[in-house]
Amino acid sequence: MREPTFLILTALADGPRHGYAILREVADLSAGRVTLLPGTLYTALDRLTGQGLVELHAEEVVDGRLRRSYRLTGAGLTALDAETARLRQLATVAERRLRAARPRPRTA
Amino acid sequence: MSSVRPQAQLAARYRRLLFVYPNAYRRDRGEEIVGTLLDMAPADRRRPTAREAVNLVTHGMRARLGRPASRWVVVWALAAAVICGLFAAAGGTRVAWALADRDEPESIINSFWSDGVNGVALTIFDGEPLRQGHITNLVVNDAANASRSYPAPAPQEQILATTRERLSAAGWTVRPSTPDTGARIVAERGDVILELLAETPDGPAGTYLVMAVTRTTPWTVYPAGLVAGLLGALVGWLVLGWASRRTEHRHLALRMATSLLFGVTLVMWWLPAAWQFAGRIEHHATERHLRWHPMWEWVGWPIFTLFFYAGAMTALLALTLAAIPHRHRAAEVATS
Repeated sequence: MREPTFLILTALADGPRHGYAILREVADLSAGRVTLLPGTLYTALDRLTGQGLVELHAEEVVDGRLRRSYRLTGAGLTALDAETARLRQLATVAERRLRAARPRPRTA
Repeated sequence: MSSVRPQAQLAARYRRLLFVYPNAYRRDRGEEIVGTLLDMAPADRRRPTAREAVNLVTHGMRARLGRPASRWVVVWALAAAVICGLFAAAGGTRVAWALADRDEPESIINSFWSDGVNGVALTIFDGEPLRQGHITNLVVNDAANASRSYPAPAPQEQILATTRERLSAAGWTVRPSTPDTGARIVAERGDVILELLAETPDGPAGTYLVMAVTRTTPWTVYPAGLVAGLLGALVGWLVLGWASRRTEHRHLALRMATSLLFGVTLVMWWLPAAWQFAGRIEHHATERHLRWHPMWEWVGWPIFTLFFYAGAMTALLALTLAAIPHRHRAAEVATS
């Protein structure tokens, strides 16, 4: 799973969000490192919807603008869970090796 | 109130960019995308940024392929766009060659060649005196490149020295000889490049002159190839995208049939072109050339033209299958 996809799924993990809210959440989650544009977001949402990981939640018009919110499906939650476990396992291994590579300084 | 009009202008500009997306997609998603873009835009923005424009165009072109969950459709579309672009560029360069305003090669060559070299008649062409028709055949019918050998009844050095003098006197620009030039003269006049090579093989045959005539590539060939190539690639992408969207939710048998036909098309277009391209690379690497071979030869024309036509037939068949109206869709339209 690519990082933007992981971030979009994570942005939807705690509830439905519309496009602009997903973009802001992705930027927050990545500490400003990943800033998606709408073209990229909606292509990703189309793909994730096609894969059955995301679905349309609601549609409303706010200030004359059409807003659709999206949410994770059961399969989406499972995929995010599996990817999170995979990343955690990798991070754990990396941390263990880093600790071994940098032994703690001796205390007097 | 003052910010309403600029926002409306910005929205209109975003909507204009959305024309890259297919109609149905734009109807369904257009306002949602525009809304998100407006949410993101600072209050003083008047025009879409370059990054936004590139992003919308790129993803709009992807949306034209349909099948959002498929990565293979992008690979197919790239393969189709590249080969269509190459064929279109080859066609464009061919037309530009044909339409180019050219000098008269016969008169140019005759200016130096007609009365022989060093007073000795060299005007022997396949055993008979050189005539206008021979040069026409050599230069015009062979299109862009031609060479012939002539027996030269004078010593090699004498022939070369005299030939240089005569070429210069007749207005040719003779390229300076270098240590690796050997017994070779290259001269240009107008759009004709003439190469003369004096060869003296072992045996009683004596010195031979090998004459090669090439026409320089007209400048119009480059922009014609570039423009035709880009248009061809765009058409290839759009046509494949149209067929992909048309067959996206169709019966498995129809999807498999169109995929198979497009696969056969790409094989019949790509294999000969790749084969010929590799051959041309090797040919240019191993032989000295006065200019590059024309582009249509690089994509396999005219040698593999049969494969091109066969591929065009299978592509047409696939497009015909894709164009068959969808019963469910037709019913939906009728209901609405």
